Amino acid sequence: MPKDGWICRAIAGSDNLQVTSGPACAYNGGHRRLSEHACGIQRVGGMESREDRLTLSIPSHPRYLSVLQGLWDPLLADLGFTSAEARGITLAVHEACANVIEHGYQGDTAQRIDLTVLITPEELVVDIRDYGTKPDLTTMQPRSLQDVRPGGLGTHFMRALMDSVSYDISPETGTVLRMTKRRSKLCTSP
Amino acid sequence: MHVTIETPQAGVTVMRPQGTLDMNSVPAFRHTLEAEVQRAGRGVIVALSEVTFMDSAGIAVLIEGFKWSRSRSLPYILSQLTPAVQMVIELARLEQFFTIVASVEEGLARLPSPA
Repeated sequence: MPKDGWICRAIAGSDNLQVTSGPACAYNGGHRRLSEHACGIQRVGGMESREDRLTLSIPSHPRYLSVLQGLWDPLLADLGFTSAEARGITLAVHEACANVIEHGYQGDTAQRIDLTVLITPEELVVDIRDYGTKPDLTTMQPRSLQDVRPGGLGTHFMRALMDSVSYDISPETGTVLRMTKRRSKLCTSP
Repeated sequence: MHVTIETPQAGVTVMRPQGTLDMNSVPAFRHTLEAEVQRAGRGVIVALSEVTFMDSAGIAVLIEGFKWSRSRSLPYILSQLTPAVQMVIELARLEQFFTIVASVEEGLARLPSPA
């Protein structure tokens, strides 16, 4: 049964209509039972969907990649990711930052990498911003794993471990790499 | 990264890296691995039980160790994979590429007998 302060995501979308207690919800003149709602219900803070945002900036030196490992483990566990998922997300973000150091900055350790982590009830979104050389998206493909040789596996790992990986090269300088991972359980809070 | 090196049997080197095997630590580990592969007479075992994190640079140096060993016809074995190491090896689909064992003892048993 709905509780005050809960909305129906399947119907309300971005309207953020508030459900009154009882078996039906008020929406554009029609009453619908909660059992008809496909996506379940989501608790919201006030009248807006709740998201948490975390920002972090690290120097472009490989030694600081270890900071990310320490950041992710406890946070991802608290967000409901399994140990295996957490290991995967940690590795994917690490590989993305390593690629920035190696390719975006050509090993220049005096630059910075900005990370923004958006946590919503549905997913984790990680943006990795650099201010260096933009990648050539036409040539950047994971290489064949049949060709066993050192190097070239970072992109493959990222795509295998995250639900989506995309590159935004529109900024005047540098690139924003975005990776997302869906949360496996319907979560009542970010 | 700290690496302990043991010689449990004549001509056999067991390397035990500790901590993270990643872009930051791999250059030093590569230098040590190459030197030990060149020095070993019967085989090299890389015991990974204390590796808490490994990235694509880490798997790359393990591949290099394999190729150096193969050029000398030297057995090269990975042992005691942690979940972090196992994940990377599986992602790279190298489970069949490397010789992987559960313990150093099992690795020693797989080496050819001393001449």
